[in-house]
Amino acid sequence: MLGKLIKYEWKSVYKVGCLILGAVVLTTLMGWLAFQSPMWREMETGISYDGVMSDWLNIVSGLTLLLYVILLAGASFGTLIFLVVHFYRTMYTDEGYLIHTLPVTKHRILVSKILVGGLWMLFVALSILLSVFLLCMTMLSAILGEQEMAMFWRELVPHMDELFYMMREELDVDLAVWLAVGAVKLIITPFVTLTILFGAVSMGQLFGKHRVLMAIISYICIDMAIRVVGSVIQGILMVFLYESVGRYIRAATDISFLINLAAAGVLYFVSWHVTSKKLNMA
Amino acid sequence: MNELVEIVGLTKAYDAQHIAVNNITLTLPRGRIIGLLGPNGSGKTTLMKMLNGLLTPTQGFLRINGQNVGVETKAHVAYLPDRTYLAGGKKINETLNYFCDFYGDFSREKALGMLQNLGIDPGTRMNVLSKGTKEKVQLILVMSRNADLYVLDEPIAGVDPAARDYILRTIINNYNPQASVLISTHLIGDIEQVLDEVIFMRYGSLVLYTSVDNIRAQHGKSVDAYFREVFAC
Repeated sequence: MLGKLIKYEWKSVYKVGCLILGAVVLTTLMGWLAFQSPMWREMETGISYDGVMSDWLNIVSGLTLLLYVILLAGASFGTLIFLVVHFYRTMYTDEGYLIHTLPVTKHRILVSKILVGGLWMLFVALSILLSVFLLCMTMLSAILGEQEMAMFWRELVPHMDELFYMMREELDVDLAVWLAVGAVKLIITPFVTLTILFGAVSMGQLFGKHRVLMAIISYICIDMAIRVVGSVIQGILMVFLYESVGRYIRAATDISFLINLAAAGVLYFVSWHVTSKKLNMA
Repeated sequence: MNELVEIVGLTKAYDAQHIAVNNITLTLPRGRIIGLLGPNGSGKTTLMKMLNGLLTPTQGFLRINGQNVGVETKAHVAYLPDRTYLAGGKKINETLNYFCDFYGDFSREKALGMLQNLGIDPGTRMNVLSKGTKEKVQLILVMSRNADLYVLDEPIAGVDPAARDYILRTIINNYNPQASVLISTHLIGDIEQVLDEVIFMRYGSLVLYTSVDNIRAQHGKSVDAYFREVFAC
């Protein structure tokens, strides 16, 4: 039954997900176009392009890059909002009558929604990272020129060992481990974030009236609680790890991740409890 | 075991002032069509929602086939709510696939046959259907299941009189003799002909549970006339 739930959940969100991914691709193209303005060529060649047209192109380039940042942030935030509204609509409005009368456990319903939603958030996050990486490469190539860019890569690869050594010596950070842990966090974080948000939506259902408002207030309270606990633990860590900035940063981010993970565990239980023991469909 | 539904001391209170269902104890047998009747706000829909696990009782319990409401009972209860619960963007065909996947007792052939009888194209999206046609589609989905208990909340309220006859025929012809049908409605005159038993509710409490024949024999009235007498304003 979990497979079937995942199949139908995927069907109900993939169109919007693909639309957002398409928007990220178009936004990346727009960002690439912004680097074709004379201003960037001036940096490479040192030859200045005078004229009203050139000034206008430079202004448009700047504004396009600003729009690029806004649109990418919108894609990420929009995905999150869409998934939370979709969860609310399919679980706690009229459409919820269908899902709550299916002969399946609430665990399976929740897991299917978290898995599919988390996967789409991950896709969007990866597409944004790729977009930023491509744009950084475009910017470097616009500033340095193709020859210098090729040289940059040729020199970077043999000196990777030095970079790793420097990070270890100066910041007490094992870059390989740090990157591996970061990748794991990147993969898990979308699922954790959605579980917390779904939990807040479910908490809103415990109230008789203004359930959406109460869900928003619940989320604000949860977020504040996570931040307070995180700050307290980070403060304690600072006392013990003040000698090593690298170790402190690593420990602080790890603790923050673990607190979110624990909060997700608690809020998954809240969602399960509300849907199986406290369900009150209007 | 002839008992299908066992309700004991069932209460649903939204708050201290709003008690929707008040301490109802009731046993429903198999093989009956039962009318759940009462004025607005008498607790009919609340009772039906609790039978389907959409509302959590404040007190008391209910069992279907001897089991508490849950995954097992939902596999054997077909529920038609008083609202459209199907997503507007979905085609009827997709909804048939959905029901086929989740309900082992769902018959696609039966559903397609009924859709054809009512001239509804299975390739149509829900959001282009009229309110009445949506209700017909939802009823077809419910009656295409071979369930033990059919819970129908206002199944004929939004459809024309000709369609009402078809729906009533559908209800009579499509449930198995070991199953029961619980129907809530205000259109008692239209539905009276198919009912075996009636439950009268008022202010969340049980007023009467008896057979239609009994009402006719004891009071010399139709259910509709007797309802009007009991609930006269």
